[in-house]
Amino acid sequence: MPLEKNHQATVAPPDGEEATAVEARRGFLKTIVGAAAGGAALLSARTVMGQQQGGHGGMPMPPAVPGTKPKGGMSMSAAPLPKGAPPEGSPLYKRFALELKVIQHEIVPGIVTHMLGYDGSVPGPTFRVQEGDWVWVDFTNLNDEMHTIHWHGLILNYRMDGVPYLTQDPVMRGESYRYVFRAEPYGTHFYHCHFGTSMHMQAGMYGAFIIERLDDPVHAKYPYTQDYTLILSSIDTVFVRQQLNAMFARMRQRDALASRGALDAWTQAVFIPGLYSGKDMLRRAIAEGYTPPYMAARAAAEPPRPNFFTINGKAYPATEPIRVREGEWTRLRFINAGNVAFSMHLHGHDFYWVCSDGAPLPAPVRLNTIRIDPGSTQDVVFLADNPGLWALHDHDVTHTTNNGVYPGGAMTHVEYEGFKGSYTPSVSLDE
Amino acid sequence: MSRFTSRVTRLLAALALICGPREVAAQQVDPEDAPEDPGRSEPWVEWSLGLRGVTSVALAEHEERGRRTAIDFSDSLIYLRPRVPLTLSRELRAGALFGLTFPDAYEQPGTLFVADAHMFLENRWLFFRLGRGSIKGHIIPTPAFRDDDLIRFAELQNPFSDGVSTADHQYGNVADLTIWPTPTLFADLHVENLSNSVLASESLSAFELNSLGVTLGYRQLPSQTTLSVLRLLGVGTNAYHVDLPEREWSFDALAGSWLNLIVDPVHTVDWRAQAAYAGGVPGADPTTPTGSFRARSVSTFSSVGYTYRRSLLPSWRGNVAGGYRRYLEHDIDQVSVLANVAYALGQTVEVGLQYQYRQADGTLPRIFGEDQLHSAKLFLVGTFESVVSPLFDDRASILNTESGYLP
Repeated sequence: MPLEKNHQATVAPPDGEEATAVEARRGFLKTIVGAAAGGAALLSARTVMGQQQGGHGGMPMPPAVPGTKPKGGMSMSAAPLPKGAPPEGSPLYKRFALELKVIQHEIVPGIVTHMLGYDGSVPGPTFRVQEGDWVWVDFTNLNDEMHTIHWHGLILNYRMDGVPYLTQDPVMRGESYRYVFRAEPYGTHFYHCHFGTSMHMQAGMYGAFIIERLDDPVHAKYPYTQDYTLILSSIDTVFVRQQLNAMFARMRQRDALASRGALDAWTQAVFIPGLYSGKDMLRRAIAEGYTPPYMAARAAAEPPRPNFFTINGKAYPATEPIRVREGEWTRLRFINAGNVAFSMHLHGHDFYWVCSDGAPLPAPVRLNTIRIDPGSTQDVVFLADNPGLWALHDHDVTHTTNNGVYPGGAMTHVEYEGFKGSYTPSVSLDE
Repeated sequence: MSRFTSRVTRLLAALALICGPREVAAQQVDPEDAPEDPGRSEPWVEWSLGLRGVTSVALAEHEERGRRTAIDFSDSLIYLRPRVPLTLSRELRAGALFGLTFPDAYEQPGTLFVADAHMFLENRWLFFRLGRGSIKGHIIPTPAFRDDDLIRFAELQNPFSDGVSTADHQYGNVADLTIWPTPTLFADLHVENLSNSVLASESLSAFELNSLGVTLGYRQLPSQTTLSVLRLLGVGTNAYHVDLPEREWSFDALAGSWLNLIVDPVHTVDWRAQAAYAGGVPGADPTTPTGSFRARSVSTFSSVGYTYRRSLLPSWRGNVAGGYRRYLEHDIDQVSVLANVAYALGQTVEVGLQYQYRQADGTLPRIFGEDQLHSAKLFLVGTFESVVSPLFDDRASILNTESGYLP
């Protein structure tokens, strides 16, 4: 099977250039693809499934003009540009526009659920930039919940870190927020919402952020030709559904109050962190009769119990295979954006653990199973030297289930280009 | 060793004799009827278990008959509702509702009553139920603590009732189809077997589909009720097969609205109003129980309420309501005014106080309450529901109505 490659080498439209909505949308994708292609040493850089999801291809998207104030009464807010950043109109920026909306996402055939999709997809688009690039992201919230973007693993100005009430106000419906930072350090990172994090990340608010460099130390030692990003996650579909409905309902009430200037401490009910004496404020509020949402009298939801485990938003058998060529090296970037640990095991091969949380290891470690804790990223490379079809799955086998039924979940397989096997399944999946 | 083997063999033979018939019985299952996968015939069932407690202590004062006190638990109910996805029709879900309640009884307080025992099918566009359940006797719910406090003014009257229980006007054997062309607009078609005494058992020969009707309306989404002016609006009409020499069918019609006068999630002021006309049967005598349900009349109720939700959670609410009914051919009327206030101890538990004054023409039967009565009731009301293995979203949820329905 021929491998799909991204050969388009392009750059973001220059600042100030008039662009149609479609062009702007394409500009975002081009920027990502172009950045990927800009890594001269990388012959095929892509996520496993990103190209198969509607949000990247045929799904109609609302207007989004990078670098401009959104239309339709939306408002843009921004922290001051970080120290050393180019001026606003500088062509030195890699500019992106990212929108958030409620989508229907198919986890596995027959299981469609409401989720929150950056640019309408789960996971969100993959960013690929060069180390040292200045990145400009206009994030627009198109739903009723509040959101931010946290750039997980990046070293940046704290006002760009995306933590609500600690570094910025959350982005409300119809609002945009500008994130500007320098892409560093090198390696595999990701981004996710940091508001209502437990639910919003389960609901799909995550994506890969890959920072490359021309003298890629991994590629120098292992000249890989395939580069896959596998974002691992878990979701309790019932928890997400109930919480989304409850939060949307509550946010609308707050919006109604805010629109007439009637939102107060009782109705906003935000816990300002200790830096701003919030603990004292919370204690005073409780003493005056306020019931925090975590107390049993208000807690309508039980803690999440994931029933689906996904690779790039899909559960087996909907996961995409890892396609390799015999005799060539492949890099796998594991990102755990979920709330359970994964122990990914590759059959028929050993791999070399080369990076942890983006940073190259002093000495690669030879393994066939690697643990990826929540919030961490681990990169491995392996040589395709054993033609066949080989399972790649979480070895916590409770995570290789769909709604508790095996097989499913965080499982895919490695398939060699042109491989003709002697085995054909004789039984169905519904055993 | 051989003796031991022999004993074991005999023992096994004896066990085989004991177990044999069971094995035979198991093998007699008709293979045509056996499920394909006996270990997992229906993997998912969502169970909802609910209990509503409505308790009060009442003090009633009559000008002539003096003072009375009572502790009442009527309207308390318990229900069980399983729902399942359907394997052969992915667009539908099926369920059943089984509920027991203590109805507001005129003469038989404490009678446990099967209020609901029906099956239903539902999807985004329709809801169909078949069996025992509530009938379409009103459009606007009253703000009273008990559903019979204003029942003479807010509920259509069952012309077949013998007057033993108010449940006759609230429950029946129904086939009910509600169609939702949009998330907020609905049309309801229903036929019923109304009973003359729903608390008493009846012979099957008495069963007849003796009522049918239609209701059209608008219902705001539950999550939006404090955010818009219009909460509920509807009109309806019913026909009853009274099968009398002077008239085979009787008809009634009703209309109602529920509006927010102040649209505010924290301080909400609402207004409810409903009016009904019962065509009745010529010559019906309202001084008898059944005659009073068949006499031509008009009835109406209206209320103004205030709800305070500090922290956007229930806190205080209060209502003032009034009802009026007039028998058009007999110049007889009755009236009631009611005021209540409730304080939320939790999201589903309230303590409240209600005052009510009722005045009825002295010729009306006592089932309508006293002719001159002041009453005050202290209420403790709570609703407790638990959903085991939740599977489904509500039809009217924000996600379903705005971002696409997922059955």
